[in-house]
Amino acid sequence: MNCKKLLSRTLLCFSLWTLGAGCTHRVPISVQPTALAAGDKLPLTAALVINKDLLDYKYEFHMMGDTWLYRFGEPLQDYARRVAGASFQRVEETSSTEKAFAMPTPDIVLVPRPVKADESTGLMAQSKVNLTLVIEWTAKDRASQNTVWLKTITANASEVQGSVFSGHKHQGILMQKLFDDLNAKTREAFQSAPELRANLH
Amino acid sequence: MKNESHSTPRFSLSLSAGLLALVLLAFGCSTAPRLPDYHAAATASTARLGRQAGVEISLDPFLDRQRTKPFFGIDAVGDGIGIVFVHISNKSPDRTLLVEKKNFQLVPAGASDGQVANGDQIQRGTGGAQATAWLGASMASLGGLALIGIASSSISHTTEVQRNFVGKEMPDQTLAPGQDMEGFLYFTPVPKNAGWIRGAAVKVVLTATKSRESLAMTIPLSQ
Repeated sequence: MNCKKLLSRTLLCFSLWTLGAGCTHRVPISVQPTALAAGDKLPLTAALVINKDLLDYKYEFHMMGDTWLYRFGEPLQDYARRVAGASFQRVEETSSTEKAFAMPTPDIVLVPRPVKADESTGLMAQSKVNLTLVIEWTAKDRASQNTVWLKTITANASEVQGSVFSGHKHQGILMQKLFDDLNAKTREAFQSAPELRANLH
Repeated sequence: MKNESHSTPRFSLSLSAGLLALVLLAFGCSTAPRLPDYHAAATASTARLGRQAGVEISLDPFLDRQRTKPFFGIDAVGDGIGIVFVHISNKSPDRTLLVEKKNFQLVPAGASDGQVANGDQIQRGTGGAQATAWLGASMASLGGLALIGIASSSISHTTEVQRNFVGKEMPDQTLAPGQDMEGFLYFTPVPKNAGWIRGAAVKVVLTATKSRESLAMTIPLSQ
């Protein structure tokens, strides 16, 4: 077998292996704190539960044999702290619902839970990437442990994908839009919840 | 073999950067648009109503391709996905209700039990379209430039169909007196024709948050 043939066959095999093997790409998520609309703080002390489900939440997007991994845990806990802090008179953080129920001072126990995420995309630089992230917030009366309020927040963001040169920049913009939408909708949900303004007991 | 790379743009090893640049020159933009939001008419003629203790629930099953295609991008009935649009009004004077998808159950004709609404069971798409897209992209990377445009379009559509199901799903929430809520429920698998609603009903259980009392209704989907 001559050298050229060997080289071309090797290249072909390498191409096929590359296509078939699949890579995992870790998508960087770096978001700036969202400026939240001003409003009255709810006159309640809340125990905010930042648990393992939130900290470890990740979303995997699979396409053409490759996987894109979004580790949402860190930005989600920052979001939960900020939006709760901006919405309630006082917030005390804890790591589980059980611990929160055992705390003496909170009126309510707030549990943010990531439900799901999904994404649509194309291959072209001009393709729009649409990202959806669903977070559920539960407020339980600490005394009775009953659920007094539940709200599912669906945040959406769209951004062009960008080329190999501008892809990082557009990914950053997409994430910022997503968390801005999430923050704004969550803040609005707290503000407009009659259940959280009523006498809980 | 799996490789993990940190901080990568969306392009994988599968496609070279130069090839993409050429493709962009050749094809320009190829983006599947976001599927539109659904805005229900006051009460659709196809809707079924259930009323009890100041709570009104309207269920509107999407049975034909003409209704599912514009809002979901696929012939959902043909794919065995039962789609029901739900609108709930809490007209009770003082009861906040807990509304959760797990408490909406599709009960087939003659059965006493059924399947719970669950959008998670709708798998990322329609594996056929993904496979076609994958094959197209593979061939494109081996030299078939024309195919990459088809692959991109197919991937855009397939992924948007899946994301759209998530975005339109009815949220779990509490519903205070005087409030309304709406969204879609998905039941899958169902028979792949409009007959899946024949004789079927949806069992709904809502819970009052303060008293923990349950409010149960069974709403027939067919007349």
